[in-house]
Amino acid sequence: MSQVCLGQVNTNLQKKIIPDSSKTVRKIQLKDVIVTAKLPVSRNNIYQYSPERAKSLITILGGTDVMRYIGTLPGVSQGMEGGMGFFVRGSNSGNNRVELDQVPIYGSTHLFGLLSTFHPDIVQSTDFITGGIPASSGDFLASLTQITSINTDSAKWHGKFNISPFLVGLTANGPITKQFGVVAAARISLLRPEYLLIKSITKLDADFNPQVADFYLKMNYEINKNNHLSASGYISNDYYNFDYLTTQITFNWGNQFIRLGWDWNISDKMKSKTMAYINHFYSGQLQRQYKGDDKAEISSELRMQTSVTEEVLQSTLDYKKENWSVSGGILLKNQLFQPATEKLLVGAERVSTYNDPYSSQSCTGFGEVKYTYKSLLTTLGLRENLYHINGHTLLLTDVRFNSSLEINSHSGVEFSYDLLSQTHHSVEGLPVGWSLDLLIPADIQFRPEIANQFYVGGYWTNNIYTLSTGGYYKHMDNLISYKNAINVFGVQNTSWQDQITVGQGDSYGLEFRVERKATNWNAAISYTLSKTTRQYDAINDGQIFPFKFDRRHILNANAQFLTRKSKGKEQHLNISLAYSSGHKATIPTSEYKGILPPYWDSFIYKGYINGSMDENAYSRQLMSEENQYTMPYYLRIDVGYSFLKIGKKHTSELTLGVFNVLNRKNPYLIFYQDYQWNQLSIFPIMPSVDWTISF
Amino acid sequence: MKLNFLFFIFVFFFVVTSCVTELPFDEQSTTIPVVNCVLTNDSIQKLSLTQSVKISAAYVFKEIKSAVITLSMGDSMVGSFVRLGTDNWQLKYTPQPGMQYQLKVVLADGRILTASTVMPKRTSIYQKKELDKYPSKNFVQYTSELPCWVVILRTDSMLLPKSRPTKKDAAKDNIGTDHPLADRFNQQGSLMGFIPTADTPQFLFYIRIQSDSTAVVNGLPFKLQTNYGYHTFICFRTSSEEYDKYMKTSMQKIMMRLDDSDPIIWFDESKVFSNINNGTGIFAAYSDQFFNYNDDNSYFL
Repeated sequence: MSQVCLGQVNTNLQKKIIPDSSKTVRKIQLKDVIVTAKLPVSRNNIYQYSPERAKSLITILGGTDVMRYIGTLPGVSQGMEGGMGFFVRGSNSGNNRVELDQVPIYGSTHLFGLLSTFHPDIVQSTDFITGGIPASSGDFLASLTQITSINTDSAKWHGKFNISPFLVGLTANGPITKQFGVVAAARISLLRPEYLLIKSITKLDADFNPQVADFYLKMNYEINKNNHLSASGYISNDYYNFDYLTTQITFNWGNQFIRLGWDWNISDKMKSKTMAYINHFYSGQLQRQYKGDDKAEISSELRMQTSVTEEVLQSTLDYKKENWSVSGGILLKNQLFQPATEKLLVGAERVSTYNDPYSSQSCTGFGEVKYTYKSLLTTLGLRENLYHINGHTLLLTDVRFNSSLEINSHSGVEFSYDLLSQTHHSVEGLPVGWSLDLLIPADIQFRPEIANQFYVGGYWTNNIYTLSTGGYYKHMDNLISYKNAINVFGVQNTSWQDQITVGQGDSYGLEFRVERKATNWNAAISYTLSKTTRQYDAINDGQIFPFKFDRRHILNANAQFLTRKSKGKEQHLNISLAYSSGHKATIPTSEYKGILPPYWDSFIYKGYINGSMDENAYSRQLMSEENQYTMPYYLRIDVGYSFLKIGKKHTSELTLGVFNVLNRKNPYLIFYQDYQWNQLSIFPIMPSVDWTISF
Repeated sequence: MKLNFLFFIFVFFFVVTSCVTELPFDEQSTTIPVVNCVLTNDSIQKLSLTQSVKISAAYVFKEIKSAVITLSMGDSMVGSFVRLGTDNWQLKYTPQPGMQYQLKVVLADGRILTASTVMPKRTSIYQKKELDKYPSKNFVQYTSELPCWVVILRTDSMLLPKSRPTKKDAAKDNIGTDHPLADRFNQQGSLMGFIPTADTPQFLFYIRIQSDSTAVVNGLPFKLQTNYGYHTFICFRTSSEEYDKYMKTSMQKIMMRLDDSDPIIWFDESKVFSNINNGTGIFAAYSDQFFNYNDDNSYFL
């Protein structure tokens, strides 16, 4: 008996299959294979894609960005154009969890949100999960993006070199011994030398030093057939320093982790996975004044820093039998949050510190049961988190339920319910997904965020096409927001406790996706119809208002065509389209007389007060209801063309791209200035180039 | 923190590629009544009654001349405001600390605007003159039921205990404090860049001291720093919740325009607090407390 497998295979077969990342392909005789639960790998709650798939998108900076593809999936609303701020099923951007080898990356963007910190050449696959979430994962409300790194190659050494106008990258993968393999990758930016070139031409006085880099190292050691050890390390860093006369201003953020893993196949039916990691995220600003232009002596210095450090030990045990499986585990976590810690120095001596760090501990137990009865696959998961902070202990319960019924060999229906909790808050500034947002731990005052999500959908698939559609409803509690949108840039505000408010959100919508996978051309179309609202006591007089990225319609389409193929040569055409309803904005509608701040006229000769400040001291702007105005729709088409040359020893690929080929001025915001309404558009037509050589 | 550099970065990566274009925009503004009244510890209370204007209109506020405006304390009316001139309504009355007041404005077309506030009790603050040394003046705070706004003014003439600032006096725009409850929303770095012997954060225009009764139980010492002159007023303005919210949201909007060429103001979606039902504006209260200083040369040594 044999049958085509569309999704997961049963345990009896799995042990014979080499992990798909392996370069060695073994022939497998399909005998007596019983296939059950044929869920497509990608459907509305779960999408899995490779870096190859992400290549079909043209990025602003050129090159492939695996995170960028998320913006094209159903249920995802984009923040500011070009940025990495994604809002999944009405949640906040900070409700998404991004993991590299199961380690959360809190600051996953370079260049203020233009680029993810994940080198595409270290990525095996990306799983984007929005519902029916495994019980082993938690501490988020919206989506789980699991980036799995490539396996080490036990057969031979190979590598990749990549260059674009902004970044240069190198990857190497190969065996040290037969059992011990290594993957190493690095990317650094070319912005500094480019700036120096511009500076030498334009004779700028100021000095700007942008440094962007990420490094990844992974080592695998196969002790024996059943025991496997791994160690990985990751560093990403963004550093921007500005020097002008006696002033120095610096921004810096990044991630660092070290992870150790041990996979043990205890028996054919049972295996365990244990990992431990130390993870550190930091984000800081520095303002330094020197006494003279020679910068010999510091006059004063102000440092603002947000950081999260966590130590985690997690162990899971899986047991599988013919039609059911059980998994369970425990996670111990110690976290240290330093939200907006300020240090003020005068001369070389520190004189004050503002905001103490917060320490929290979590002990989480999780378990999941999967049961298959004929064509019905049901999964029930439970996650109990004992969370301790500031002398208080909270018990948080997550529930995960997913049930899918196969109607026939091509189609099925699915239902999922997720009760999710998150023990940290991300207080968000500008919606570009940058890493300067304030991260604060949940406590008794700002309690953990909670979401309830229901999803019902169906799918149909054959060898080429996969179609899925479904609807969701989501309710979120204990969400955090700045009371006043004035904080859009003030993301390191030391007095954040006074600036934020707690509220709730609702979102419901329909999602649709059709995907074609074939040799000559691949394509995908995603459409989302949704509505999302928020309610905070301290915003909009406590009334419900539309979420800023409540885009009613979102349509994304992308296609990759094999236009030419000859011996050792291929050419591909990539086209993508992004359409969405405009996002929401609060705009001034009228002006009215105000009360002058105390002794305002006494300041007027001091030089700080300009005409605009004075006007706003005497009058006030009456703003519309919160997010009442809908911006015009967003439309963008990107086109790219790649030339692939496959040689005996190396393969090279040159990709030329044009972002926003229509040069459409998509409005991000409108504002009134100089007696005229204006609109700001972020990106006009942007060409890009990227060259990769594999050896 | 001053955010210009953040915007510089933003400009570098985003706005160098972005563009601003004129937008034909049909402004859907409506005109609504505006009432502004802040009760003080003076014997005369003032009120302004106007209408809002279209944002693209000239900067002229149309006065509402006809209305019946009453002030009540609890259930009993304390008086009616009388229009004495253009947009100048007054009521002879000294509010009582700790009491709640209601304002009711009945317009000629029958619309009714209402609001309420509480006249604050003064914050208990005492000088610690024996510790004063340029550029610091020291205090101890014993109550903190409501937020307090601090402003420092310099004058050229000798001050008597009951002297009050006049229009010719100059307010200090760079002031510093080590008060642990100082709100950092208008902090601008260190005062040392401005005064070499200072050692506190620098605040622009005002210091907002947040309320926290538990923090002052045993008396909370703090200092205020600036480049004091010989004659100085230090004003502690204890604010009702409404005045405090109105002031802070107003100042945030004003300070966003510190550099009027800075495009950061394009992102301004902030709202100024209002507690006027069926209209906008503010009905609030504050209580001022002054400390007057006539320093001799020994203070500056």
